[in-house]
Amino acid sequence: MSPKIQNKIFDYVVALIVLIAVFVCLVPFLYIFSESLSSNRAIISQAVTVYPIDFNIEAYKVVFGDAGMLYSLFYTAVLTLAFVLVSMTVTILASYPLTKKRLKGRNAILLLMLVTMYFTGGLIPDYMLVKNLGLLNTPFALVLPGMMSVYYMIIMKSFFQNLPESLEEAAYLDGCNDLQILFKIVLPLSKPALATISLLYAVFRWNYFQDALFYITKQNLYTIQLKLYNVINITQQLPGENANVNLPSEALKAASIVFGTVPILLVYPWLQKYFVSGIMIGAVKG
Amino acid sequence: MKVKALRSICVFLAVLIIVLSLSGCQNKGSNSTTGTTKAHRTLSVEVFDRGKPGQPDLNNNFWTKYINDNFGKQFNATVNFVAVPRAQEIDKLNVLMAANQAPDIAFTYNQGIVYNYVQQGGLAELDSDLKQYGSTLTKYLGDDVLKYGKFNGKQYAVPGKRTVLATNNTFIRKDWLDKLGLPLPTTADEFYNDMVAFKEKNPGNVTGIIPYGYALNATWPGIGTIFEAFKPSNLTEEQYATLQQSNNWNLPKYEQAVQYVNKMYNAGLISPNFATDKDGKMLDADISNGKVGAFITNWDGPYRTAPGDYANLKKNVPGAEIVPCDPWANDAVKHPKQGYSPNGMFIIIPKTSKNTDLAIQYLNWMSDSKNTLFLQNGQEGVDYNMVDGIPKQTGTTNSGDKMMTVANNLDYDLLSNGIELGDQQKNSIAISAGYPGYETDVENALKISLTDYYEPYYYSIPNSADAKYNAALTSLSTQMLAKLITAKPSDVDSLYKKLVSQYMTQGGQAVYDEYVKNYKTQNNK
Repeated sequence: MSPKIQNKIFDYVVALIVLIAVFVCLVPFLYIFSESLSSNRAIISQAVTVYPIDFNIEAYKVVFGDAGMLYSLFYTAVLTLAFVLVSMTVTILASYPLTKKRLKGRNAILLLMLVTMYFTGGLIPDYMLVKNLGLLNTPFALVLPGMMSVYYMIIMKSFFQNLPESLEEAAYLDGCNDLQILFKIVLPLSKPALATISLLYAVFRWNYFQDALFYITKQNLYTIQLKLYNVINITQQLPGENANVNLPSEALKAASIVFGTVPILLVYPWLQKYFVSGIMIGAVKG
Repeated sequence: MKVKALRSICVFLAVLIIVLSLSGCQNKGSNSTTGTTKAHRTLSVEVFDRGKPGQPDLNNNFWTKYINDNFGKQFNATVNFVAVPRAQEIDKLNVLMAANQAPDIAFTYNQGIVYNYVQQGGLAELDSDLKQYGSTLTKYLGDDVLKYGKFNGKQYAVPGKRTVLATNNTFIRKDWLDKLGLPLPTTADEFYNDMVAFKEKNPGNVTGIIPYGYALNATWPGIGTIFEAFKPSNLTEEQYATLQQSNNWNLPKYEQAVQYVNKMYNAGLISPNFATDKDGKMLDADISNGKVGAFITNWDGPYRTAPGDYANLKKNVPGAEIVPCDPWANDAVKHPKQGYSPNGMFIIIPKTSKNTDLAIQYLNWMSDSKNTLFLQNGQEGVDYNMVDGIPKQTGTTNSGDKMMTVANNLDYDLLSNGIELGDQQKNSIAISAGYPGYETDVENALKISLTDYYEPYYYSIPNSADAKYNAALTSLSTQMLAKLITAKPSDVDSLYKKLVSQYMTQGGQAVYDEYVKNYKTQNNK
């Protein structure tokens, strides 16, 4: 066999393997999606696999007919956007100065931040803090406590460190001050990192619900994930209850999951370009 | 340079601490508001959020309006509902209690948690308020129910009343029995023979027949009511109180019951994957697909709308018929079944509440049969019609502003767990009315499930060793059952002894000892 044909075969084999891997990743999504369009009988009988059986859209009618779900989706989107803006601002403003040798005591500051990665106050102290700050039952409780991840800040910092120092020096000589250097030189060069970290923050805020579970008791401040969590977790009889509980059907659960997952999935394709290059951030130390 | 920086950080932090602690002091001072009893008051009440899509605002709907329009006006109060996610209620309640943020009326089904709060001094003592404001309430509940809320001789919780005490039933495919000309089984041996006949003759002509469908539930591992057929009928009260506990491993003849299941397994009569079917979904599928001949589940399991096993089965296999049966006769030819104790949820009032009196007045108002009827059924002529003294729902409470997220509104009507019409017989009929299309089936299932019903032994002192070891012992029990049922029949005896002795050393003994101690204390022996 000529090397050319060998290469081709190799390419096809690789493509096939990747295709299988992609399919394996897709199956759970397909399964949930087809469940959401199937009848309860078919789901409980485990007849549903990757395509719907007894096709119907009743579950979606209920989900879309529920103003609370739509409201929650919109509210969570706004919340996520606000969270990303706040988080990115804080992360950038924390990581950039830490790359500068001029900053006195930067190692001590970094150390203080690192401590929070290994030790936390625990659930109840956190709750008391949020309560005493008057943040309970406000959207701020879902933004401020988690607004900076030290881990992402360090990734950001190592990205900044890899930028050639001479660029900044040149800007400095041309009369830029520190803020101008940051906004006009450093940030435009850091788009992949910014996009990646933003996405990571956004996915975190979109998917995380434990804080909402504890800090929020007003229903109009529930995030979509908390609503999903409630719907999905009432799976079977709970201790103490012995009644024909009016449980949501499996199809309804699946439809709620699709409803809550699709929006964040739609963000990926737009950011993919940055995301792929962003994955390499911090991989090679210069 | 580093030292300098560190020093300035330390100074900064010290200042921060002082400032923050001072502001903390200030906060406390401004927080105390005093109100006279005549002033308008706000009573906060917990409500379970079951996250049902389409559910109304839990603090502003038909039911909360009724409560505020009636109780609220009468007592010059606003009742505010605090939603607590159903699946995380204990975590959330713990946080709320720890932060002094718990609503005036909170509740849980978990006795251990209530006991913890009592031990830590977190709950208000209710004796005097109950005496002063709770006459209807105490009359409705009676001492038999109220005693469940007593700890160390004082009333710390108001237990709800459970109106359906049935737990389990054994169901069998009547159409298969009919085809084979067999009667309903009345003993364990007959049951076994029926299973063998199902396997050999395959009356339903299905592939992969499972004569006895079984799933090893990870939360409540056990073998259903089967052990009742082997348990000696002459246990003393003390034996019953101390041995039928902690996953039954100490119960006399429990080994024989496990052997019975093992024999079925080795004869290929049981769901082959029972040990991994922890949530019972596989079993539901097998029943729905008509593969299963018999199974033990909740007394009303197949008739429930979710997962809807019977309805699915009828669609998948036209002509299929499931009926409850009672095969687990003991040596006295009785069919004993342990049911629920007569109490429902524990309603508690935190010590920090300033509205203990109002909270008791609220519960007292709720125990009035007129209000119970409304909260459980809605408005007569609109949401239900009275037929022979039984409310028949019209279906208006399934959606929208009036949606009940749980049958009979248990989340608002805290005092009655299940329909309450003030009469057991009426209740039974009303219960069956809650399963449209299966009324007579359900009535029959309820009757069979309550045949020779007995109550779990009432302990006035919770078992602290059980609270400590419960999770570990439950998971151990699951493994033990899986091993014992799948073992070779000749090995069961030695394996049983080995595993149970392991169980005892890993906490089982401590739990047992405490039951013995508590039993003696309670009965002054």
